[in-house]
Amino acid sequence: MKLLGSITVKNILIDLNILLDYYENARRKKYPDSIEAFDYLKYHNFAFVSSSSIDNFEFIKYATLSKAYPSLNRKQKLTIVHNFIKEFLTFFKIAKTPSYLEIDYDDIEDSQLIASAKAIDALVLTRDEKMLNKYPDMTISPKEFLKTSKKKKPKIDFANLKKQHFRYYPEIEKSTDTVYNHSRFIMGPEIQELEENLCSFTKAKYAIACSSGTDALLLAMMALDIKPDDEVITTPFTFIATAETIALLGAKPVFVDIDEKTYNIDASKIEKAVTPKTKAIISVSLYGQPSDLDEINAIAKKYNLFHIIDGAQSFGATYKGQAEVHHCDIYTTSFFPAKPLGCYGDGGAILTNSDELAQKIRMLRVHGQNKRYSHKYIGLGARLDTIQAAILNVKLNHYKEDFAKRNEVAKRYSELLRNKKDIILPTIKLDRTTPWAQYSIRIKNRDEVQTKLKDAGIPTAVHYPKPLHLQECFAYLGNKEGDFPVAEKISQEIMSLPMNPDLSEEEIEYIIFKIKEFIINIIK
Amino acid sequence: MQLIVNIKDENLARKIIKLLNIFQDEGIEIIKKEESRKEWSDEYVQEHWREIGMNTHSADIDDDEYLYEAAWEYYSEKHSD
Repeated sequence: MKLLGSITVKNILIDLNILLDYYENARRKKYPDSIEAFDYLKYHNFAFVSSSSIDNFEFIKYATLSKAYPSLNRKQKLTIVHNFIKEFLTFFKIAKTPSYLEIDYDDIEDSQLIASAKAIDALVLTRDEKMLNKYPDMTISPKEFLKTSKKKKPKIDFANLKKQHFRYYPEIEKSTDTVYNHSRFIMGPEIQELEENLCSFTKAKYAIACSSGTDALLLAMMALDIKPDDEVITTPFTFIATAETIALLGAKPVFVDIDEKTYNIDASKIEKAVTPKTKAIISVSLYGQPSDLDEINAIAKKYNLFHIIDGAQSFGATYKGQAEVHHCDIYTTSFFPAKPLGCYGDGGAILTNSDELAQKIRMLRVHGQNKRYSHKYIGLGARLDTIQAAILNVKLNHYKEDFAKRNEVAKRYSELLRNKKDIILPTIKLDRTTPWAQYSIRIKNRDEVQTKLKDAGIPTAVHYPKPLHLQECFAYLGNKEGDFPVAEKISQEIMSLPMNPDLSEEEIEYIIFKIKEFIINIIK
Repeated sequence: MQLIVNIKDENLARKIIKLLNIFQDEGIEIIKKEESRKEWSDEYVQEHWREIGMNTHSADIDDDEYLYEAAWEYYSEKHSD
């Protein structure tokens, strides 16, 4: 049971014999399973060839050409061989031999291949009987591969970070190798490069990379001098960090209920919550969609309040054609791995068009220091690691494609679920765009549907099951059940479906088929 | 009976000629050998690389001796330039 019913769990490392089968007429006839497996893998972005197989392919193909056509000159033979190599490298990525290779001197080549496969969590696709017998848990024959790939039940990954990683594997490897080589792990050149790239993407004047989305919020409020006894208005239907950071600074989170369609803060209810102690409003672009920013900014202007956008889920979103940073004092975001633009650990950024705020945030990020060992403010150690910036630079370069793919997945979900009376679909207002950090539907009997979907291999999530005003840590604020009825109601019904740019049409259809099947059986 | 065949693979052609020569005493006579392509032009190879390259005959690569021979041929030609 190597694959546990799903080929998408593992990558595939294609052995030399399969490459040669594919590129020789006589072998194509003799080994049709190799050809079918190769053709399948060409269009599924999870196959690799080992770097050691490429030169073996080169000299074997070269030698066979010498035998078949003695009058071909060397240059001509190399032209032919290299065209084949160029072709298969358009389908498959190269897997390196890792430095922790354990050499088996009985067969060095096989041990190299197995080590490469381990490094990328792959099975070796081979016809080599000796290898299949020696490494049964690390290899698969074309016949077995085809049998497994035709199984109908897909195993769906919620965010599918692994697939995304291997999609950009060569670029990420190159980018991180550069960091290992210069070894400037703190504030290396990739940080500045990322900040420039973030500015270029959003047209923001300043971007400051930092250690997490939570720290981004903290730094933003510290820059605005939010102090104990200040009040900050925000939504109760968000991740804890939004209100937690307000409380960490000694200020009071003041919750305002949400809009029933967008699940963002209800701008029409904000004004009632403003008091002389109110210092700022934090709107949250939940699931990626910006709030009603014009309305919020009008209130902020009227009462001289700051407006921070917590865009932890919304990087890339636009409001009236512009990035959100242009509609607030400070925009913060998160690069948590599962975010639309995620790194390989914690990370975040602060964007602003204010010279003064940018300068202060840069100091606050490094313990409030204005020059080495001179500290103007009480700050934080909240820098982003260089290695994370190196990864983000690669992913940001592809972000427009990912953004479009996520929107395509959301569009298909909506098309397939439209007019189901027991399901409330997400509503995106016409003047804004979203990266669809989550595709969240509302459904009765949610918990039961979730269990059934889980049994069918479909992971779901609830963002968020309990609004913040009902969390124990905020009991001191004195809010009670019923204070924010919309948030309470949505938290009982909301359910996020798998969302990532690598979801296939087949997977989307399977998810929707199962949802419809369970709704018919459960909700009557 | 006269049989005219077209053999693209030069190596195979040599083998068949050798085989036919064995039967010379039985009356098999090679009337005409026409080598269609003594020199390959770079342009032709560039245009037909797939067709040429697909018509090779390799041993199964698990044959280590063959791998060794192939590597030997490749590298000896490489260093003879």
